[in-house]
Amino acid sequence: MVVGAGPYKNLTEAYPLDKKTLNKIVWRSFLSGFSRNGETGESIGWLWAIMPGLKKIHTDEQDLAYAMGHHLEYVETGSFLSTLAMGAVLSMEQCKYDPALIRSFKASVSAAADGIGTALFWYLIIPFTAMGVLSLAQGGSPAAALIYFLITAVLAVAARFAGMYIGYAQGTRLADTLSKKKKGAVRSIRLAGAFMIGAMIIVNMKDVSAALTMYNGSDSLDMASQLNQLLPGIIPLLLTWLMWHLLTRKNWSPMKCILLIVVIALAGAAIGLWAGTYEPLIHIG
Amino acid sequence: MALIAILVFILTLDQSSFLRVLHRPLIACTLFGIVLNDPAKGAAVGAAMELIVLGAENRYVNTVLYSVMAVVLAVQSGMDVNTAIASALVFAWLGMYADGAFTAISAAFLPMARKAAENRDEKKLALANILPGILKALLFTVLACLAYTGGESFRTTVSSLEKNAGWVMAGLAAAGSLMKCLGFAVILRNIQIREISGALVAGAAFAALIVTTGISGATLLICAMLAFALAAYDYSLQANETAAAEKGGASKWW
Repeated sequence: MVVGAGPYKNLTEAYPLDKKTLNKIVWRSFLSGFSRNGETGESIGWLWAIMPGLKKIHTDEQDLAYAMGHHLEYVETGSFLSTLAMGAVLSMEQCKYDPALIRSFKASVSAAADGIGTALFWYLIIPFTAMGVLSLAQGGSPAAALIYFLITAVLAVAARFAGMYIGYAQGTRLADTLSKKKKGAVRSIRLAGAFMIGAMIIVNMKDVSAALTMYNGSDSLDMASQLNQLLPGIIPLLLTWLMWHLLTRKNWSPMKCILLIVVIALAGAAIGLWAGTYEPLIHIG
Repeated sequence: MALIAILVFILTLDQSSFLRVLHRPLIACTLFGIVLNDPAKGAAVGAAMELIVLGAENRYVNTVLYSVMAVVLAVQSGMDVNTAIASALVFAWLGMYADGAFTAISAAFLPMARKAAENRDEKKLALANILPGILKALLFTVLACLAYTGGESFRTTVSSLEKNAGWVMAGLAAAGSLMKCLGFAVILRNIQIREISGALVAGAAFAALIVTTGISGATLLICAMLAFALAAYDYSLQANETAAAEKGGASKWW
């Protein structure tokens, strides 16, 4: 299913989204992680969350279906600042930019939101709050959990609202600047998007790493570190290339690709290729 | 029992949606402790487990099952905190791989979502969003109930499952992660990557470089800064080109 091969039909800029719609999207964003799946990340929840905005922007029915289709492509926002990306992407939709630009912009801005959210919450707020209440909890006080919850919950809600308004305002500003030279902007943003997709392949796939150790008598060879010497993340890079090749050159359907991936994954686990704590079926080497 | 089931259901939902802080071991274990009538022990187990999870690389590790069983062992079998956490480790394994396998299986909801997008059917889209979450929460509730009522015999079953069929679970979980490659490939096809594949390679190379330095938490952020810099530079380059062209004549090369 190739969606979004050309520009939207109705190219008149939509009215700015009102506060009520933006708030509705923020509340929906809290429910957008349910459908997190292996193939497209949070895309179903992402699309459902921004639907109120998309419906206001695209009055043309075909354009709406078209926009919904391309928003179902892979997106991962890390939840905590998902609204930052949502607001920025909606401001681009509102100016009716070419979907090629919106796709690339979405890839870079969602990865940026993921990066900021991860750094802010998983590496700063959550560890610091946890460490702060830890001694209280070790002493057996349930109040520790309450304090922990209140601090992180208030910050999480505040971050979502702030993210939405900052993302939408800054996105609109950027869209205005770019609108003078729309054609040039497409190329620049596509470059940034491709760059970020390359980075995401490495970062989001870190959890799949080779962990094979081969033994030859008393000598052993650690495949993981050998592959890392070659290039960290070589497995996801090669697999993404293979999928792209099968999709575009061999005309495979996504379903067939998924089956191939499941076979590769199970075969890899059977010989103990993937990192993790499990007993492989066959020991090689 | 019913209360534990409800709590596991809610906390599993929170693991991927809502505020995503309620399922943290410190809070989850305290809640389970309250339900089992020993909040102090729950909080102590939670504190110890929180320390373990804080160091974990993967932010999507599902610790709900691990939390509930560690608290149950600590409260009902009277184990001390560290023994309970060590004894419940097999449930951390079960939770992690059940979660990974479910992530792979949830891709089955994509055709439904795509159909909804074609028909602009928001209700069906909402269903495709909520349904996997509810199914996953139900799966974990059933697993928790089995673990709670099954006691020692369930634990040995899971242990033997880990030994004999562990590779199947690990394979499914790996499939769940590897499927992202297809998601990336679809975007690459749709943005016609061929003309700009250099930027893709540059991004991958930069990320690989940063990941190996060990400051992996900020990798995406640093890459995003570079990407925006790249776009801004390219844009200004074009602005100069067009300005020169508008003035008439080619731009000076000297």
